[in-house]
Amino acid sequence: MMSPRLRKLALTIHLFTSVGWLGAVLAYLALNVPALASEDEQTVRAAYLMMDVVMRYALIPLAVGSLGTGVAQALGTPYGLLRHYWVTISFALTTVALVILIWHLPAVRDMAEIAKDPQGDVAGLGGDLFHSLGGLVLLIVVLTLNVYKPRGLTRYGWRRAQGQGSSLARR
Amino acid sequence: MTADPPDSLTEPPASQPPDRPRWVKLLVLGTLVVVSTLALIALLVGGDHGPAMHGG
Repeated sequence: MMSPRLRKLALTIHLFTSVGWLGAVLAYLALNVPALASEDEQTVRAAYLMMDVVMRYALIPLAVGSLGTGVAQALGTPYGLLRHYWVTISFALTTVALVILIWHLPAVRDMAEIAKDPQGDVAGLGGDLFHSLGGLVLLIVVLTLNVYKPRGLTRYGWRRAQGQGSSLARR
Repeated sequence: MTADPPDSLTEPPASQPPDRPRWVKLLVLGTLVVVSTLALIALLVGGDHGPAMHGG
């Protein structure tokens, strides 16, 4: 188990990366506005170029940091990773979000390459609202679970609690 | 993470494993509905998963 000081440090880093990830998703979502609505071609091209930058240098690093620090916190505290439904589901959803981000990176890069090419047709790219909104909804679900921490032990958590209860009764 | 202590430290263990909480069932059901709907839309719309598939 982590010491209280180490727990606070881990929590600080986890909050930084997690809230940062949410902010990066909102920034990525905001770039869809000029990409889809602007009538100036240069502005549209710039939006797609910046979507690639936000993905590479903010979204993915912050997602990795959030998942890593979340796992470290779970394993270093009595919560555990698989004992409580809210922790396990948060872990699963965060992992899915990171996998989708990495899987989607080539498509975002391709859009940026088309935008970089002066002959590229940016009007046909169609933005990236689907992934932006999907990611936002998923992170809001994880955020809600982490704040409210709804009760519920998994079967594994219940067996661990049974084991702890037995060992305490024997003392 | 620094709020109430986890269930395993405050609740006495029962003789039977607990049922899955209602909120978990609703969340899983909601996720299945959303994923199924998206899969159906993807099948109906078709096309490659790349540029020009997204949004407007």
